[in-house]
Amino acid sequence: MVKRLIIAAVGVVGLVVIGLGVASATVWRADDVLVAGTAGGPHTLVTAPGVLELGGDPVTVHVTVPDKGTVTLAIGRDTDVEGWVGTEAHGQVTGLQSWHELAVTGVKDTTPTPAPSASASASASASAAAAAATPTPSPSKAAADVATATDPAGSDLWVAQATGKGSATLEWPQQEGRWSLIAVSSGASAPHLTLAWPRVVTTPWLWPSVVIGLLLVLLAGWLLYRDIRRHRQGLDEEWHPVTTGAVPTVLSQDIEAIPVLTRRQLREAEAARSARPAPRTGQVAAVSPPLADEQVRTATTPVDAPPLSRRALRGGVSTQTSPTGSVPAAPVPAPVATASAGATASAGAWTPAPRPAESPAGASPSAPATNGSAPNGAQPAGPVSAGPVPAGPVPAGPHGTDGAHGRPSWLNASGHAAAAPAPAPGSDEVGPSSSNVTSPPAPEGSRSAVAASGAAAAASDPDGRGVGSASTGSRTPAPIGGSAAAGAVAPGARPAAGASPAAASTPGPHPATVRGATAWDARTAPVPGGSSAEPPDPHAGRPAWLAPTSAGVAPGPSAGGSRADAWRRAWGLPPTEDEANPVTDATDEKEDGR
Amino acid sequence: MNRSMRRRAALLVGIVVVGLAACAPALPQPEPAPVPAVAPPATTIAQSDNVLTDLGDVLKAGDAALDPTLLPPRVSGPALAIRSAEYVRAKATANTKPPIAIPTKAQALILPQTDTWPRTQLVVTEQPDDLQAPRILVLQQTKPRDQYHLWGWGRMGPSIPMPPTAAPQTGSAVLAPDATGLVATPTDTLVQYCDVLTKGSASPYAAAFAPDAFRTGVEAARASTVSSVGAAGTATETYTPEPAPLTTLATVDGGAIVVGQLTTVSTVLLTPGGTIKLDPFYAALTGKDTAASSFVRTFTDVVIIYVPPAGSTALMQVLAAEHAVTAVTAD
Repeated sequence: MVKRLIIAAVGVVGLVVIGLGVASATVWRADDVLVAGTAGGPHTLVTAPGVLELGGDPVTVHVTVPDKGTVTLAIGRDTDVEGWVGTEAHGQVTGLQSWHELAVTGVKDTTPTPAPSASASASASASAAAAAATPTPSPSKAAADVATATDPAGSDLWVAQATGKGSATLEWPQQEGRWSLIAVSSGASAPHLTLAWPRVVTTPWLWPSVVIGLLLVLLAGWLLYRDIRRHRQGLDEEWHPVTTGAVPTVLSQDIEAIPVLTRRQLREAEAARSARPAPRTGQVAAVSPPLADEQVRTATTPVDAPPLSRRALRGGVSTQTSPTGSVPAAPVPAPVATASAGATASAGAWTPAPRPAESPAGASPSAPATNGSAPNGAQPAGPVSAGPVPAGPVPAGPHGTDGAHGRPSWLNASGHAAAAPAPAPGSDEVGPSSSNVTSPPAPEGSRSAVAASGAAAAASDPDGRGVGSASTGSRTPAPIGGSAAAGAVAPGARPAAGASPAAASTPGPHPATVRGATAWDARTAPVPGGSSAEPPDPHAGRPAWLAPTSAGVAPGPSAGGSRADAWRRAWGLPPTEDEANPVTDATDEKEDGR
Repeated sequence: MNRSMRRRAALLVGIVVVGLAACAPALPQPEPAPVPAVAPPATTIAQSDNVLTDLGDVLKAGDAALDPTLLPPRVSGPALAIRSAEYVRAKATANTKPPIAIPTKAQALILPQTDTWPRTQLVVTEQPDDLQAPRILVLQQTKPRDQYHLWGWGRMGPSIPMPPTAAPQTGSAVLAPDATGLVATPTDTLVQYCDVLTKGSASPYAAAFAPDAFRTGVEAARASTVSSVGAAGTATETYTPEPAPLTTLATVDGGAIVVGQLTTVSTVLLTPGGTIKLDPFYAALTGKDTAASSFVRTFTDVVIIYVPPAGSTALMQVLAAEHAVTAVTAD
């Protein structure tokens, strides 16, 4: 409001300035004519040289007498006028008394001859008696004036002249030389003489004021426009990001863990997405079929579309419900199947045989390995990686991890560990945006990278490797582990993103979100841990593709179980939940470490 | 606080008032042109034209009525006398000898630089309709409240060049009657010229004056009179200048133009028994047809003489003159 007020004030000031400028040239414009006059006085008035040119070029002389007597105006050289006036009494106009009054100096009759004055006084007494009761001197004077006021009209001395009854007007353009005006009233009353000069009236303030005022007005208009525009656009722009939807859901669960993505993160996620798309899917698809049992295959079929799984990841986030929903179903009937599917997938990607061994073993070993690699992250990583891996194997642990594993496996299969993480972020972002797995991976990857791809990813890698090495030495697991780690992260992220959707379905997502949060914040770690048990849902969500039925736990196990089961079945090992939890924690810690 | 605030307020008001007062434009003061070192010409060309126009009207009216009483508003001095005589002559001769033509269109103006009175200016007129020589009119304003009057005129001699004179916008300086720097002072010029008229070539000043038609005419008339009188009497003429020239206006070359008036008295004394039959003009003037003892004619002469500057080898030259009978007595 203040801003608007200021803008309005500027505009008003501009208008006022314009108004003042215009007024200065109109209302307040100085008079065009300077008029000065005399009142009363002698019958003969003579202007001093220079008076006619006093106010401007041409001077307009106007003389009036109240009694309609004959008045004459004449202009001649000052010497001629003086000569004509001679010694007569007259008034000399010497200049301006004020702006509208002429200064008149009386000149007494200096006529040496006494005779005329005597006669004048004689006649004067009569006229004076009639005219006024004033004492003798003034009447005699007046009488003298009257008596001696000879009409100068027609004299050869004048350069310009005008004669009239009652009034006369004469215009005198300026000329070089010394010129005087003589005004004579040959009647009974004294002439009232006015001189008028045109004045050069300038309006120096008009245009500057108008210009400045216009500028101010324009400025105000512009400011206002800008202000309004900002108000409109500002809201739109600021609130456009899709994150809004995701954020609140997340918040609802955990206040502390707020996986709000920064723009930069979003950008990075975008970049990551765009970076890697199809390959994984292709690989995944290829992988899944071979490993899966019939059931697995059946499950796989759905799984076949790794993209789906990714979608699930993302969608899991966004549309998790379906996955999640499916997950639960999956767990029960097809935990094995899913696991097998995941296993198959992973196995397909790498090799089934080694994995199982790895996964189970890898899970535990991975932790150590990670530990070795990274103290903080190591354990987490280890666990994470292991978690994922084990999660994969162990349904419980896997919840998130499983899903992660599954994904990671795909991702890993696709290649980069980063890819694995990608899904998580992708899921967050993507979840809302779309179900495409690819997109999620990117973010994850970015995140993982950000988080410390070196640490996490590397850790994961190492984990994976370590795991791999530990487990079987086969790298496949390692990648898986890495993927798992990433996946763990990813899951977290996904869950976070997807959590909202999933949240409704089951607590599992929460943990996932937590994880995701952790991934970002690293705080979530605990949460995930706590919720880790639940996470399965998200994981399950992935498997969920396969099994729509029950949510939460089932999926977790299913997911974790799917892989683990596959492996364990393959290798005859029992599933271990313990690992899963540690894994999640590990992932969190890893992330934290990042 | 109050005090300080009041002081501040007062100070502020004072500043504002002073500032506004300072902003107010000052009353314009008359700034007359400086008094010229040399007086401007007595009249402007327009004024002279007006005077000439007015004069023309007056002359036209007088000539039409042959009434000298119509002339005084614009004609005075010798001009009035001569014109009046001419009217008489015109009447006496049934207008066979009309007044000489006086053009009033100026060919050149010789204006005096003066701011005092009397003021005299010369006007070289155009040629009259009969293609006679141009006239030089002498216009004089004796007092401020008087008008310019035709004081006199002179008929220019044939083929006499006018000396260079100042432009009317500038005006010509007015020289005193006893001004030096000339071949002869203005006053002396007239005296010498009279001497020359009287004595002819015997005059010591004869050589100083260029021959002119006026002198030639005067001498011829004198000779004619003498011869016509013959043994019946004696004829003498005297030429007397006015005490001072009317005016002297400087020319550009340092000389001057002297305007003067002469009086020529031509006296014819008849021996007893002799008579002179007066022509109608003289008869009209005198009221007599014959003169038995004396016949005195008084001529009023107006001469306008160019006087070269001192040291010049140029001769004084009568530019224009008028010689007319203005009075006649006969006994």
